Amino acid sequence: MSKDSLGDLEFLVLLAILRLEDHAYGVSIAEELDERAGRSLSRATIHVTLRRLEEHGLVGSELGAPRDDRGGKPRRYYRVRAAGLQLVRRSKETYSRMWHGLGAVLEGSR
Amino acid sequence: MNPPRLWRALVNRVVWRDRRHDIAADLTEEFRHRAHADSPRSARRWYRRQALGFVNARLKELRTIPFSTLVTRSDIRVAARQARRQPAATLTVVVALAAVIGLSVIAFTLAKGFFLVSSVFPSGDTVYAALVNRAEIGATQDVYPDEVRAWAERARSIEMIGAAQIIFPAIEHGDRPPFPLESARVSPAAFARIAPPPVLGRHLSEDDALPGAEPVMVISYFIWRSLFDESDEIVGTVVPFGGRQHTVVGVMPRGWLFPAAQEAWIPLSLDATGEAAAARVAAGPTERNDQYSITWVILEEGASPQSASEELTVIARELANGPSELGVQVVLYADALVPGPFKIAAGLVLGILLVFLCGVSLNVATLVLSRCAMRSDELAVRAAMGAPRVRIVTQLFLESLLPSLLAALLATFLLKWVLLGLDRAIDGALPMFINLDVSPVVFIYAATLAFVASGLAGVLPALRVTRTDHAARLLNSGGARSSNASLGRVAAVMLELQLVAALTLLGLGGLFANAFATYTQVAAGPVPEDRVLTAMLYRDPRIAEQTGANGANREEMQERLKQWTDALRSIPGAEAAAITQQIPKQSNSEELVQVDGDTETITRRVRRTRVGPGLFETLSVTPTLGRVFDAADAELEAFPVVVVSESFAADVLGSGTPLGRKLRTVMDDGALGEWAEIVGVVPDLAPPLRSATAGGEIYRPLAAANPVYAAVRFSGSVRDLAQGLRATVQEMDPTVRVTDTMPYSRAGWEVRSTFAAVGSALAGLGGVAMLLSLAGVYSLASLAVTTRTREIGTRVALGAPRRAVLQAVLGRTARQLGIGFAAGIVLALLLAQLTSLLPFEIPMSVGVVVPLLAFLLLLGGLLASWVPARRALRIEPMDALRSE
Repeated sequence: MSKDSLGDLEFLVLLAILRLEDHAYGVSIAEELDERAGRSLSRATIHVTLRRLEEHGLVGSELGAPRDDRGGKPRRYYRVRAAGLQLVRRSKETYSRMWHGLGAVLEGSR
Repeated sequence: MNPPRLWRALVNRVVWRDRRHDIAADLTEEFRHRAHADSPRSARRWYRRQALGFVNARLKELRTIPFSTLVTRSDIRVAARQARRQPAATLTVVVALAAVIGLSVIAFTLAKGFFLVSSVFPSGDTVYAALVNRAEIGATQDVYPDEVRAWAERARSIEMIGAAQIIFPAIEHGDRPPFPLESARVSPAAFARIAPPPVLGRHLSEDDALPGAEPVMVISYFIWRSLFDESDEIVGTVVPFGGRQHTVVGVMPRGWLFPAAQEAWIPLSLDATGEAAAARVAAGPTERNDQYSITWVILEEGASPQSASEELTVIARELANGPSELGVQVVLYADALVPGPFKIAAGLVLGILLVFLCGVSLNVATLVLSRCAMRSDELAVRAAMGAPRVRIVTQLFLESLLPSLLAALLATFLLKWVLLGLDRAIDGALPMFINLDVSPVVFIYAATLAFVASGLAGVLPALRVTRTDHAARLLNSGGARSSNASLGRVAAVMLELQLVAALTLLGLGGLFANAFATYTQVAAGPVPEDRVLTAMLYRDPRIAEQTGANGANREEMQERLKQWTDALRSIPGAEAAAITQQIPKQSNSEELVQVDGDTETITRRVRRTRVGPGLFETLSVTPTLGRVFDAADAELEAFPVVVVSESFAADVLGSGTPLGRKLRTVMDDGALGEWAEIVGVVPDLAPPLRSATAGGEIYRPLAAANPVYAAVRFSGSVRDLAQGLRATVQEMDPTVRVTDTMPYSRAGWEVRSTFAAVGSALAGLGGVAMLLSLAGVYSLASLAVTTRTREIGTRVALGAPRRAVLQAVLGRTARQLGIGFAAGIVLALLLAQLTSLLPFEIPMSVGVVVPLLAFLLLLGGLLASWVPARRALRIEPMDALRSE
């Protein structure tokens, strides 16, 4: 992944974080990807992707309050940073431009 | 409900350290949810899959780091700079490692050369030897001519068989006095088949072995050089050899000695036809008196040693006339040449060396650890600036690898130097199949040792140091996870390990070295020996049976013994002579005895030798007390008397005169022998026996027996005496063969020289290890105190009296030393049981050696703590507090 484009997996993870708003943490992101995108990914894959996004400054994270149901351990919540949001927008535009004019072809191929 | 513990631990270990807690908690949360919604079993399965997923992801990350970024040129430069910055420490490490790697490589080369002898000969043939186990005399390499001939004619599994007979004929040339040359009669064709081509002249041929053929001989390179000055005209030269004129027909290449270390060869005929065979047949059963010392065999293609063994056994049993227990074993030639116990001994020595190497590596690890401790701030900065752990570990590994490689290089030079010296010392007199070249294998071995040393010395402490949270250390100096405190704990544990290793290794090393040295010294004996010749009078049990030699009654045997003794004394040049059951130095008969005055339950195991009249006089042994045997003692009806050694008198009889005391034999079935009176005490002639109840030597008079050994003190030439001895023996009994003729000083010298070499090697190693251990204990004790500088400062700042602080610090070190000593002493005492493997008694008690070592190390350890503690006390409290 370069800094100005997103891979499929990064794109999906960023969208999942955006959808979950303030509740995006490891478990919820995995569930969101499973339910909405139908992608059942290993937790290692998700965390490797999150780490990569963080290293590129597209995602930030902070610890929440300690939780009793996690043995006093807090959750680490992720949010999309401005740079990440911009890249998501740009990717969407790129997809839209590429999509434009293909409706009939794709409809016909069904 | 929690995830499986082992898998949880795996997750904790493999995930990124800064995310360890939240990822683990995420997985646990999901695990619980799944266990509740689905089943605990499927949840566990899911958890395992996730854990393995993380392992896979981390491994992928490692693979993406290119080697060039893992080890950069600057890393090597930094490592070299570090080595230069602390020259003393670097030098210690290099010298220590070089010594141990060098010794290990030398031992490896020698062991490979002498004990891993190849059975593939210059011809490319794999050569085997046939050993015969005869029930009556045990396994032997001796084989009878009729057996060899029958095998050569009938055995289908062997392609070729050769036989050799070791002989010691005197050789004469120029002005040099004649001297016995260790030589062999060999079957010519089989000899030529396995030997390299001669450098001059030709091999022996079958024609040379025919009756009436001109006597010819082939000589070794060494004899050609030392005796004939590398003369070009050697081929055709006629040399007096064994009393007959022999023509030299060939010179073998340098290093060719055969069948073991023999240096001249004359033909031996295995032919079953012709005059020679007829003469042998006419000689009847006495032909079996003429044995071959070793036979060598080349197997047919497809035949195995097992099938050959079975076939040769069947043939040999047929020859034995009637039921026989004998069995033939075809083994690799090298295995016949180097018996198993020697290989085990070599393996033991190598094992000890490797353990020493581990000990030295531990010391090097200690030094690296101390350096890490001093550099923990630097490492913290590097870690905080984002240097991955793997980079820091690599850096520290390189820092310890550099001295190791340097040490391996030095060790190789040391090896080359030692081998050159050895080659010069023995002047090429080593058999060709003993290869002492520095082979690539030895280089690989040295490099492996260097890597193992670096691994132990560099990586382990590096991993330990880099486990500390350096960021926390920088932010929160002296916080909850102080790296120094953790290093102090490591130092304490290593100190204890070091002590255990030092006490065990040094204790055993010292014990064995001392045992070997004492054995060598005692075994050399106090006798002025060079004028005494000993020889074994070998009588084949079957021939003795046929000739009725064993059937004689005691009176006849006593008479025969007297005749033998008189005959020996009448040899020209003999000053004194005696028949003995065994040469005292080599005697291995033991007896259980009881001494008068002891309760019946106390028995002593002693070395017992039966000596004929005049043996002590022959050996020039004078009694230190009382007398030795006289002719009357050897009479059959004589009152039983016994002569004991000084150590028997001291250890068993204690104070008071031993003369007049009595002892008797305790038989295996508990029956008691007749009391015998002690009439004399002689110096110890044999090395001490290995036994808890050992009590030295006793000598009993030999009254009636077949002669076994002859000892003759002589004036004049040894050659004349040896010839006279042979002639006399031949005259007395043609079925007796004279073997093992040697000066008394050489009796048992092979064993003695091996033990002496092992003893000095162990003593040398022990010395090196002792110094290193002291250095190791010093640096660890010093490190343990240095890491507590802050604590000492705090105590002093709070007003604690300096003496009390010093006592507290030293007390803690003493406690650590104490734990190490206790464990070390227990282990050393347990391992000291190994000394029971030695064939003789240990003169120095393990109870003396180990505490002595413990005391020395304790002194070193306390001194090592005292010096830095004093230094810490002298620092201003505020400086000490700031030092963290």
